[in-house]
Amino acid sequence: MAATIVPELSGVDEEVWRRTEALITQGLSGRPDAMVRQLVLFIRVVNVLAVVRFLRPFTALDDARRLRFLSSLENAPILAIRRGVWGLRTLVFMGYYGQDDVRARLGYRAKSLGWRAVRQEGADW
Amino acid sequence: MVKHAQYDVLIVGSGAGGGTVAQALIPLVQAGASVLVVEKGPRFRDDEFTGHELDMAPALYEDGGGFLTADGTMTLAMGVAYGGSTVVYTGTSLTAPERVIRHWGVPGLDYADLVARSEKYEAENNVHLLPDEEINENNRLFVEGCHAAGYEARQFPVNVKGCLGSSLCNLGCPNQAKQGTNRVQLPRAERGGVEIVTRAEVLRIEERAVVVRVGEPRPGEKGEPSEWKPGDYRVEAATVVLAAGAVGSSSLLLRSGFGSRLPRLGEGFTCHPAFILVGEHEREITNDVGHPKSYYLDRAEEEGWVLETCMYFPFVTAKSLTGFGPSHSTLMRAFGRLQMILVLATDKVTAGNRITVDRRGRTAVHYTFTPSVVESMVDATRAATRIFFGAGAARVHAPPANPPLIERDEISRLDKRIHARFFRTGRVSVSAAHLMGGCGMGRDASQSVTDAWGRVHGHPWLRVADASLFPDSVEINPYLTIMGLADRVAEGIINDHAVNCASLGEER
Repeated sequence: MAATIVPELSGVDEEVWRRTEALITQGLSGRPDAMVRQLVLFIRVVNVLAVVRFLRPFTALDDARRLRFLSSLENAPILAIRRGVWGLRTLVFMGYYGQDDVRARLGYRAKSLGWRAVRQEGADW
Repeated sequence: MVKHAQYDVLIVGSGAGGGTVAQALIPLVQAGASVLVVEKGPRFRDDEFTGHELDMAPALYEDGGGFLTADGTMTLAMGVAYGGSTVVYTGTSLTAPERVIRHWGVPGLDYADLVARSEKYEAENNVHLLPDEEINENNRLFVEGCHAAGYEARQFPVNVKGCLGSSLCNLGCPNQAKQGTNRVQLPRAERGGVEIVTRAEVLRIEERAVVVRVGEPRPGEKGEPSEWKPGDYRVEAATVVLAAGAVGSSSLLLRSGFGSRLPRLGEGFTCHPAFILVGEHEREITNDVGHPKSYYLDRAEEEGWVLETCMYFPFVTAKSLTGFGPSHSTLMRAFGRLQMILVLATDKVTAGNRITVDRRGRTAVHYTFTPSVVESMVDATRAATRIFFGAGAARVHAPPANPPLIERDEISRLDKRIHARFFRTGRVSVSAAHLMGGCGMGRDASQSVTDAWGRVHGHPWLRVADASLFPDSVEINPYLTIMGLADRVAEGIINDHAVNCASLGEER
């Protein structure tokens, strides 16, 4: 599911996955147990719904179908399902975009020194 | 074992409200009174402000910035630190519009008086307009786009001193430039003899007393240890001032049983629901350097919305965009070419939107998006999209559109592409930082919680001094109005001090 949400994750090495998981675990550590249980339950529900719709679990779907299916859940008429997708994507985004080297690759350059850093680094900006 | 302490005045919270009251009571301290501020969050060292979102957000915000409304459709941002939310705001400083204060209709609240007090804090906090050379392209393009779309952008006065333009205001200024209460009012209060205890969470309020739990930092956690030893304290005070924010103050009073005597307690909650729009340009722009929020477009009176420039961090940006997958990733990879605008609806108080606590004392904020709020956000999104295209953007990501990416050649179809039917709660990431109401000011307990001086009806020893006092939306960034009202509360405390001390003496 994570690679459906952030396609870059499908081609990364084990170290990036480890960092992604570590940041997600860290993000969940301060949250109530009930929220974590809801998340686990939602992931199971996604798999069940995939079986109902495609006669196979989410993990057995190809990339395009996974994307279409999760997108349909994001627009589901039931709020709890839309919220579930929102929570899932938030965690995956946290795990991926929270990494320093990913932020650097995006071109995000904010520095404490602000304009002073721009003037010092000149052409790098 | 519960430890005991006694003070003349006890202030709960150290943000715009609590910090203001603390400083304004220095003359009382100099006259021999004792004043204590208890703050739930910690005191941070200057070198702890790293500007990294996953590092700072869990340290500075309630629930790490992920506090959700009861139905989980909106996140509420509340700062928890020495300085409260003034540590994490952008320092934009506006005085309340006269029409808003008149609409509030609070007997005894004079507009000229409120403005005079707000202006006092404008001067104290070095509020000014940034010079042209410090305005980045993200902000300049907003001004250009407004002009092209037939709007007039206005520049935000901001309360910074020595701003280096880190763009990291919402993660706590790493250069200590933002003049929040953590930099101005609280240090002055401490120098003037006010005592401040951090990591001190108020569990409940009793008659002229509060029960406080002082915690200690977890291993590896940011922030200094508390000034007091960990444990539970019962602190008696002749006067108790609640300044824990709209949600914090209301829920604390509800948890302490005041709801039975104050039927309006927790009612009248409102906020400025907001989401982020992103415009993608063909070239790189300066967006992650410079003050992030320098301009705004105020259509609150006419159309119920405000647009503000903004610039967020990669994770916050990613979660704020609608959708996921390849198109989302493509937009994220264009980060250096993104222009951002924040859409805010200036929601009015609506029946049913309120703060409650459950039987276990847990806070819940009930908020429903009314059709008029949704229409305001949709209308504002169309305006912002025209502004992006007017500024030269090639495409715009608009949350209430499906698909959310709108190409430039679709500009004639904005009314169809951006529509209320695409505003689906749970799908669109909505957040609010301006939380108001719950202890609204007014004439009596049947219509309100406090009088125009923040005195809780029926409890002359208990006052409120934060945005929970607002009887309706302030329709602008609220902190100067909070400071103006808190200044009035402090004046009332000084005037009533002898009476309250005599009452406490009789009880003791």
